[in-house]
Amino acid sequence: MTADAGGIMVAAIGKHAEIGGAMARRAKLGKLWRWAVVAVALSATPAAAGEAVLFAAASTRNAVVETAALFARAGGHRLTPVFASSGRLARQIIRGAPADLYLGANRQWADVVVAAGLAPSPSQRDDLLSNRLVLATAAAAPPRIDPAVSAQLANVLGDGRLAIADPQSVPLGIYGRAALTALGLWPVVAGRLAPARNARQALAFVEQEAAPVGLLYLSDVVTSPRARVLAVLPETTHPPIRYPLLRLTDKPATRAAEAFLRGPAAAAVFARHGFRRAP
Amino acid sequence: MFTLSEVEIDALWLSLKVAFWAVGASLLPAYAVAHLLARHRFIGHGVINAIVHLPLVLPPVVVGYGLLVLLGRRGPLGAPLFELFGVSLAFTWQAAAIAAAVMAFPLTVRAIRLSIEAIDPGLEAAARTLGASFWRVQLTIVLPLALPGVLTGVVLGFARCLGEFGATITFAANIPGQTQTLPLALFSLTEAPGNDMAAARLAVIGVALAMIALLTSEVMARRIGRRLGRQTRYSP
Repeated sequence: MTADAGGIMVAAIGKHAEIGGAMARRAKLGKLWRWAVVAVALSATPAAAGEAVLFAAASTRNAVVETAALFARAGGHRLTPVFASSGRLARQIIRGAPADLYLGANRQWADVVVAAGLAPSPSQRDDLLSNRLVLATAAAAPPRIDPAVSAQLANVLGDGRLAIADPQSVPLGIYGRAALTALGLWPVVAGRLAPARNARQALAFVEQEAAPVGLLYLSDVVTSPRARVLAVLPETTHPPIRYPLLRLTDKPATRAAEAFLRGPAAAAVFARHGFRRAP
Repeated sequence: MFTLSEVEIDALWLSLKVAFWAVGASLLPAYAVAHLLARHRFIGHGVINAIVHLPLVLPPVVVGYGLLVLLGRRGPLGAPLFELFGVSLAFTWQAAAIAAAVMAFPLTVRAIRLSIEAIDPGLEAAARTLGASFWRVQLTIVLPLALPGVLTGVVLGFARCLGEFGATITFAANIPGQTQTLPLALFSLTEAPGNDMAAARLAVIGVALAMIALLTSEVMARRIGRRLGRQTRYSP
């Protein structure tokens, strides 16, 4: 009954063929029981090219997939992204998942990876991206609300629930709880949350209008065809949202991928998806 | 002494409630579909069989997302439900029960279908020639003979419901006391750091529950075997 909880992410792995085979078999079994994680197969590249596996926070999916495609086209190496909540990925890396790079949605989980001796200590320089928190909805003709006024949020919520990522463990939820607490809204919504297991699932709750309002990343709302921003939460209400990029191996492909992710081409993609460069 | 905390009791009780309603509400449809597949040949038989088995093969998250799209407030079923009755299913324990019911349906149908197929059609035909109506044959011959299979299906479905995770978290979210069943509570504990002991306790509860369900199912299966064996050997 706990099969979902223990699942190890599966990546399409070229160079680690022996691990790849075993993991692919696990994935086959997992079809029945587990959340099957999509391994994104990138367009074919020269056989000599190396591959770097990037474990990335779910909120970065669209931008990272696009960046990976650009990287493959630039020639030389491939970048294979694997997505889940930052905490889940961090735990998998600690348990030996074959990741070369880790792009988490907060510093705490990156610190856990560093503390396990798997990466160099993250400094300010290691942060790749930053993001903002918003209240968003997919309802037609949404009212613009001032997040400081709890009555307005209560009105928009009606008898529905506030979509949010799990405030115990998922970075979006942890940031969101801090912001709502600072705004004095936590008591209003604490009993009326719909906690999702990652940022993208919280977005899905809003897009399907299962939840009238969601606390989401600005980047997710910017790229969503349905969700719209109700209010951008002040950055002073929560710890700064930073996405540290950790290099876990020293392969040429890993170094090339890291350089590319930190380069101008990737920066343009991330900007288009609503992320900002980390200051 | 192994005493349960309030959170653990909540999760356990919710799991049992969800599984009970999921199996209870889907039993009649499951029996009907099993009978249809076992006793009737028609165009589209294979398609219906495939659709029934779909939740067994699809990743549960896909099933959960499908339910969210279908029954969400703008979904083809969810929109009229909300507009006509003001019912919003997502994020309720009923949503968890629906997710569990869909995931367990193929197992229940399979068990019932096999036991119906094992019944000699000659018995039904004989009853019909003696003037019994279709419904009388169903109630007095097919149902009693298929009962062991029905029981097995119920226990299997119940066990599957207790373990349901992917579809539930996607459709009903992870709300403590509302939709946070045992597997979801365990998942939450393993996601946040420092909860290894609490997670282990829940895992023990989960294993105990699963063992009870599976052993019950095993006993049922043996009874069926004995019963069918007796029929072939001693029936007049």
